[in-house]
Amino acid sequence: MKYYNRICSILFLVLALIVIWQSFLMPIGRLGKPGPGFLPLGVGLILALLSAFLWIEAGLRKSALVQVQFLIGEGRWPGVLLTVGSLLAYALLMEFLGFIICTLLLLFFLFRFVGNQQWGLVLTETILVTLLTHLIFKVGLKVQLPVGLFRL
Amino acid sequence: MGYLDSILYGFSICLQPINLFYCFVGVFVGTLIGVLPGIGPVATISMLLPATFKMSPVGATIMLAGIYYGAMYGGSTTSILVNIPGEASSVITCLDGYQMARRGRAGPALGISAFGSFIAGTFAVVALTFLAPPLAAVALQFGPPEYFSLMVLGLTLVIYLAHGSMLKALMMACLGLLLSFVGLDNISGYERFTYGIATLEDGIGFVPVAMGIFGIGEVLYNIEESMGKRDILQAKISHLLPNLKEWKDSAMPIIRGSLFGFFLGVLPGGGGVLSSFASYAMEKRFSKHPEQFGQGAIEGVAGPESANNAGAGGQFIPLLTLGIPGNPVMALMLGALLIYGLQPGPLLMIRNPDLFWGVIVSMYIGNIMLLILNLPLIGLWVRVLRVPYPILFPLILLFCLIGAYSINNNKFDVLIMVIFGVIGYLMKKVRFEGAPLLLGMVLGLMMEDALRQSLIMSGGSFLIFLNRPISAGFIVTAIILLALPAIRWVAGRKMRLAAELPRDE
Repeated sequence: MKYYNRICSILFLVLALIVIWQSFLMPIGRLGKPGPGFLPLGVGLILALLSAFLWIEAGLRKSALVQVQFLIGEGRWPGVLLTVGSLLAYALLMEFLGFIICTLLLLFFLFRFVGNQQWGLVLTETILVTLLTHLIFKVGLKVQLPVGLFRL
Repeated sequence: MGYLDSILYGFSICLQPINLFYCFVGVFVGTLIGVLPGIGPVATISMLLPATFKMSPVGATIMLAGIYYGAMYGGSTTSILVNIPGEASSVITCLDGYQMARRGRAGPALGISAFGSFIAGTFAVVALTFLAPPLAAVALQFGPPEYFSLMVLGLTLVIYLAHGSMLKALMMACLGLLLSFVGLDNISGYERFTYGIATLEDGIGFVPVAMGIFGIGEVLYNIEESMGKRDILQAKISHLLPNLKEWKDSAMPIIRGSLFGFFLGVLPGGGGVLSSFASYAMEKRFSKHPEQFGQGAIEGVAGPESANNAGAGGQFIPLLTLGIPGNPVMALMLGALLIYGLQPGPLLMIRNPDLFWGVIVSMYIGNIMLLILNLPLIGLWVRVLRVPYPILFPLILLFCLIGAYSINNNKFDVLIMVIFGVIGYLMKKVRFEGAPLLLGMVLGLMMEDALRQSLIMSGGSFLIFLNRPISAGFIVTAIILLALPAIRWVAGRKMRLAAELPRDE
């Protein structure tokens, strides 16, 4: 945990320094008439200070017993990456391919390759869920969903 | 309008068939997501928020409120039957609830938690009815310095009550504030942190951020950790009605839980989680046989379950009277009200009495609906619990995607949500909490406006926050809360040092 806390403190420090630098590019104003850069600068400074505290605290604590592990467990970790990848693909393609096609592809992928279910079940669930969500959200609640290239 | 007139007016609003329907949908969905581990009220309300844009503000708020307090009821079912809390506020119910179930007393455990929830929930609504108007009258006297100090106190309480490191919670609150600054400056119209990206001019929406951290992040974590594997108690559930002795044992815990839970709920940062933990600790102390706690003591179920429902009711007070949210759910409710074109705060009761009283009175009816939903229909929820996670998680993800897209019909929000999903997953791993971030993000611009107005009023002197008594009270409390851990650390160190001194003098 100590190792990760140190990494976090560096990441936050970098962020705080960027914010401080960017705030100086804005009109900061004066105390009697604060400008748009005033509070970002203040919060940036506080965050930089807190990051330094986190670094120091990470050294003081003896709680190295808490183990942090990324992407663990009996071959399940590819699931996390696959899920994130498929969500990003969905976000980027949804306006191009439209809601129905994108949703069919996403659900099929998640049910089959992340959820590891049987083919028959996967197909049934994919089609059923896509149809139902289309009916509930687009037809029932009149939510505007992208129609995409094929106008579906 | 007197109290009676107001309450009758509230009933006339929420007994309209369409509002009754929304109330039912709200508490039903609330119980559903309460029962399902891995999805909570924050993710659900953010997912459903865009779908409510076409509804009337009163109906929509009644439904969203129902989801929140409904989730408090449903959360206990999972704790008792599966030993996995459906909601954070039901964590403590696992201790004795699951032990009761293992000893064949699942029925009375579920029963007392539903009855306790009902009694406490109703008590909270009554208290809300009588306390909200005078508090709103006091809040009308507040100027920008008081509002700023109050928001500082609210944020400090959320940080102070964080489950993990206070330092990390403080950093998360700062990050939330920084995120809120992205976009056009309210006062000068200056573009901040937009880097020429047009969609950033309107700022980063907190709904996609909330959905990302609390919805997507949670799913990613579950996929990796366990794929939501759980052992459900297979025994048949019978005797939902507690017997006379069980009622006798539970009466005082329910009363104490209701009172204590409500007042802890009113505090910003309070609410269900804090109330339930505090109630458990209190019941153990009051009990004549504390050794039975953790072995299936009914008091350990009745107290916390009552307290978390009373706390949920109490949370509506700062939102409805001051316009300041005390937890992420209330932050979403605030956002919803603003989207509907309403300004939560002391004037809400005067300008929109239909919404104010309609929502409060709908909670009386919602509580009765929940009692019916949770007792005779318990079998249905047990069946819902058996839905395997590999089927559930794609549905949660899909609802999040639809919700994020439909906020502005823009894929940018979807991308923001996915990015914050990954951030939320990493935060969970390195134990940074999401609540302070979300609250900082919602309060950020309001705090900035109040601070800048106060400084203009005082000609640049920060003493304005200390010269006004109410504001000074808030600020001093916040400083004490922030300093407490440091004081405790120093005191502890002194004691350790003293203990290490040689004693042969």
